[in-house]
Amino acid sequence: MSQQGFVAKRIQNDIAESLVNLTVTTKSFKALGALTTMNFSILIRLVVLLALLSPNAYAQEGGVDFSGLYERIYQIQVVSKDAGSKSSIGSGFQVSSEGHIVTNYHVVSAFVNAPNQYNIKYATYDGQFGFLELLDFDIVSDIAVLKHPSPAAEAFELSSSIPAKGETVYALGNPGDWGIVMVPGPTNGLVEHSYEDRVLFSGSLNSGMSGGPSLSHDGKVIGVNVATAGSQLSFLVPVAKVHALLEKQRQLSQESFNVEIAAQILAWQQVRVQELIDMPWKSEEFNGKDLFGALRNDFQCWGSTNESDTERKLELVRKYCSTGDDVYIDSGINSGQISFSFRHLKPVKVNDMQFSKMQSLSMYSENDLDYEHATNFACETDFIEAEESTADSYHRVVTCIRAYKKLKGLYDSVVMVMSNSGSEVFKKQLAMSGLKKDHILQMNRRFVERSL
Amino acid sequence: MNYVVTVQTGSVRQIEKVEFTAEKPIVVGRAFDSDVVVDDDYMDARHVEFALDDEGRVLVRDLDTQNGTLIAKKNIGEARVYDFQSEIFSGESTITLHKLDAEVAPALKRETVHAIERKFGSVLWTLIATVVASAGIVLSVTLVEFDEVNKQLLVDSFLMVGVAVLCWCLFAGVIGKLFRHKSYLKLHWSLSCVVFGVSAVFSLLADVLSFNLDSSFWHVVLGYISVGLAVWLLIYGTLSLSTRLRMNKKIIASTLMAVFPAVVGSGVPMLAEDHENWTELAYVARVNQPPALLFRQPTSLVAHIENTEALFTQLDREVELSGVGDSNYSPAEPEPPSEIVVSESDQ
Repeated sequence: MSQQGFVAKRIQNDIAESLVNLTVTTKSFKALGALTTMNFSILIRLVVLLALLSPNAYAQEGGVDFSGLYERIYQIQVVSKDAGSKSSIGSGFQVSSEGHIVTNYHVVSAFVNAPNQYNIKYATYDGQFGFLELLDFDIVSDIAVLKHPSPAAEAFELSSSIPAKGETVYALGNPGDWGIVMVPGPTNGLVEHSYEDRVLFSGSLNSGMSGGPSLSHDGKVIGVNVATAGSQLSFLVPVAKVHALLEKQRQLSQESFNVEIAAQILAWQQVRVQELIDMPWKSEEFNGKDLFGALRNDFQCWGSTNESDTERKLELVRKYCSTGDDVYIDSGINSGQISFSFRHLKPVKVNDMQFSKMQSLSMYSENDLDYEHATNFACETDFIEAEESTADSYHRVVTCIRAYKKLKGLYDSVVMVMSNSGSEVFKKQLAMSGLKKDHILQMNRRFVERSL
Repeated sequence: MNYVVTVQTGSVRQIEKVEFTAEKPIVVGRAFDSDVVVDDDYMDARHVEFALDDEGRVLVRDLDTQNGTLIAKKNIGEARVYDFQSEIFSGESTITLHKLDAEVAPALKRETVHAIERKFGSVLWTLIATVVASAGIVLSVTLVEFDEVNKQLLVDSFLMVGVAVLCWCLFAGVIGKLFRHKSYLKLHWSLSCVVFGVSAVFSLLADVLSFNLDSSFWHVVLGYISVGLAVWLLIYGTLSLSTRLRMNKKIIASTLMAVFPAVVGSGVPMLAEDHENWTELAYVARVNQPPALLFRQPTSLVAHIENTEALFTQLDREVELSGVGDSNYSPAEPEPPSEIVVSESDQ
């Protein structure tokens, strides 16, 4: 059951968690047996330093000398006002003579979500430090702009394009307290199956390197280090996103952070989801039924049966599709996932009572929220008569919605369509997070219509 | 002089009129030629002697016996003057001597339990109660469970309820034996059967009602009521049959027991803190109810989507009440700083 989805993992060094070298967390309590399991996502936190190349050695071999640029990398720390020490670290780099510093949104997310509890602090390679001001962020692209009170004279130059496939780029960052490092590796163009543009980079980004620049051979910034997908595979935010954010020249007030996050997610979803609503959903057969599959390039589907399981108690044919994109809001808080699944269940070794007991009576949205951020789900159950007189005499449709408490106007939605014929059950489920009301209603309607 | 002697051996009680004087005492013992013959293996053939002394007082004399004779837990030794009302222990028996004109306790009032026993204590009523309970189980299993009912489910339910009823009867019977010297097993069986049957039907009705009301609040409340009612009836009935408690005490005890699971159990959602009720799961309670119980008409998809719209209003109100997102900032405020900068850059 564990096909692993396309799960990009942001690199982040939570001090509290860095004691564990490699933590693989599955949402075990969500995985209430194979039946209810839809979430294949496995979070992998990489906090192990893999072989890092000595910068000087590389400079000599590659003939590219960035030694002067090392000094311009800042370590960005989010410091708890109460505890007085850092709660997360990342990297940042200056992009203008006025002192604009670019980093990842997720490096400073703790501050954005609780500006009263944290400060943003920088540390230079030679041990100086001071405080930075947050000007603006792009939560979807995962970048943020900070302001240095006494900027350095020299700044990184932003490239106007991303390099061609195969060209070597150099990711710089400050992964912990070991000093500034460089990781070279080829770029592989933009990531496929992703709605958001990401540059695929064959190199190991490590925790703490988040927010650092990736440079082309001429020393220009072509992207911002953002996430890793496993050994030797990482992602960069293309430099165009940085240009776009800087051009806005905004200075957000702390009180408007939540409103801004909600607005940015909604603006992103507006295009992304509206397109799904407007486009045709191409037919694809599933277990003899006319359904659908990957709706768009950013969807990926997996199918499975449990035929090979000789001990199986029920026959299960399953298909699961999801988008690779999600929006990181804060530690353990994210949104933007869209996924759907079809499951055909038939009792084999169990009697009908056991079979009916195995039907899960709960659903969940694929994103992570907590009590502070979301209400409980409120559900509406209705019975819908089957239009055609097939073996199914009726369908049960359950829609559950929860609202975001801090991010007004955002909702999560889960819909289940359950059709019974004899002792067999056909379940179709759609889970979406971080959408506005209209989009939820339209998508749900479309999904149920196509699933009946 | 004439007296009455009562001998209690185990559950056997013997009452006999006797006559003795100073010259002509009487003997209580196991021997068949005793004046009062007692069937007690721990008594000597000739155990206790009653006689009058010179002053007309009653003398109790132990006839040099194996186990002795005691009054108020003290061995009387050879002989002792008897004080009426006090109990004499000989062997395993309790002997009491009464004067003929001694007052007897007023007649006990017949209790409801006796009337109930006369009316419903028969095998017929036990059978009827069993049938009622079975009908309740069949009904609830047939209607509540997932689409198709099967024999296995029915057998399991019967076994489960049967064992529960049996255990309860034995337990209640022991209590009854302790407090009333009577176990009323048949009555307990009938009572538990009826309570199970009634509560099965009631919880079914409550479930259907809350399903049709489509309200999670009423689902919870009706659930507690149906369980609480069953517990209350069972405890009250059992206390009535097994003890001699007064009605108000029985009511208090059964009410406490009925409320107990609600208070101590997994917690009442309404009493818990908000965050304790938070879950990332969307419970699809009652989705497995068969449509036969749906009094709402099967609806159309359009209607379902319209119904979902109401959820948003409900959630928005919930968010407002929680007050979490209520910072002192609202997007409606005139000219938030971010917009000023944007308009400047546009120029």
